Amino acid sequence: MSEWYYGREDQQYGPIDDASIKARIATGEVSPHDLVWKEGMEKWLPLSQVSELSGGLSTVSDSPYATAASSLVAGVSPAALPMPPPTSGLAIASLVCGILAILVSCNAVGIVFGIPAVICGHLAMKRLKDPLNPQGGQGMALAGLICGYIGSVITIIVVIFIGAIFYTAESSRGEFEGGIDWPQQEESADSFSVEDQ
Amino acid sequence: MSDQKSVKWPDYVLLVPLILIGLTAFRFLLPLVSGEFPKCPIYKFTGLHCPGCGGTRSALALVHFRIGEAFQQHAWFTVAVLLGLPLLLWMGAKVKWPSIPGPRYHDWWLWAGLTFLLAYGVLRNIELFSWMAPR
Repeated sequence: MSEWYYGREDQQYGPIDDASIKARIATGEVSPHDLVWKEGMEKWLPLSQVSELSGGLSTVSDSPYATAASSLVAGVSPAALPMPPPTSGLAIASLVCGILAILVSCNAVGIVFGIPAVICGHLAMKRLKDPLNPQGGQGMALAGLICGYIGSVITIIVVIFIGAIFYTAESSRGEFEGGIDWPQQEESADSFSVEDQ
Repeated sequence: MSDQKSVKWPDYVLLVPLILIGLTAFRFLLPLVSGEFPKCPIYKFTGLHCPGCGGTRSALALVHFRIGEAFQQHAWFTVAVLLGLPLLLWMGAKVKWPSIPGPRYHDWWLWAGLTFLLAYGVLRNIELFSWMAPR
């Protein structure tokens, strides 16, 4: 008796026994191009290349009935199944943080999102290299990484320049023509405190 | 197989309270600090509006419910908060209660968001689309 795992729609399912996976193959829930794995296999393989299982899919899975059953199952259950995706979540988190990092990078707080984006991105990339992990998301993790790095670098540049501007303003008062144009409502009021000192 | 556990909210729904808390904190904590923001050095030295330019002003307008001003300062951010957060909540609710109608989470929601943000970042620097640039 073997314990099978299979990946479908970015989710990993299992362990399930021989009979169960054959039943799922018969209904089309596991299709020939889905990756399957069990203890002892070197890596995940498409179902069609696993001889001890692919025997059951020859006729059934190619029939219109199987396709219909497959799409029916896919349409109803994957989101509802509680098996959590262990890594693509990291890739998603990375990209979300990366987007936020770019969005707020000019406000000198981009690094708050940039660092998590980079960390999540690296973790996701590392875990997605694991052959036991059938999930996708490398592209998303990479995008998150890039956005995170860009956001962090912009933040650092902004912080350095702001520091330089204030330093210059301190040392040669008067030259500094208020690097502040905000908040708009109080622009003319007392927001140029550096010069007022 | 333990497929029949009760379904939890998906993790991404956490973004909704986090962002709302962040915006609330932004509104009520900002007056406690100086109330001054230095001009963006990137704009100062290159004259270019980066994709995030105007984000702070937009957020400030938004937390005081000046939607029009928020949209003018940073349209992407305004749309993301006003449409994206309810959408996230809705998608999460659909995972929790699959019987309700609604959109399902797809990776391409994220890709679209990133694409729009980058395209917005480019377009706002072009004369023709200068209405996207922050004031």
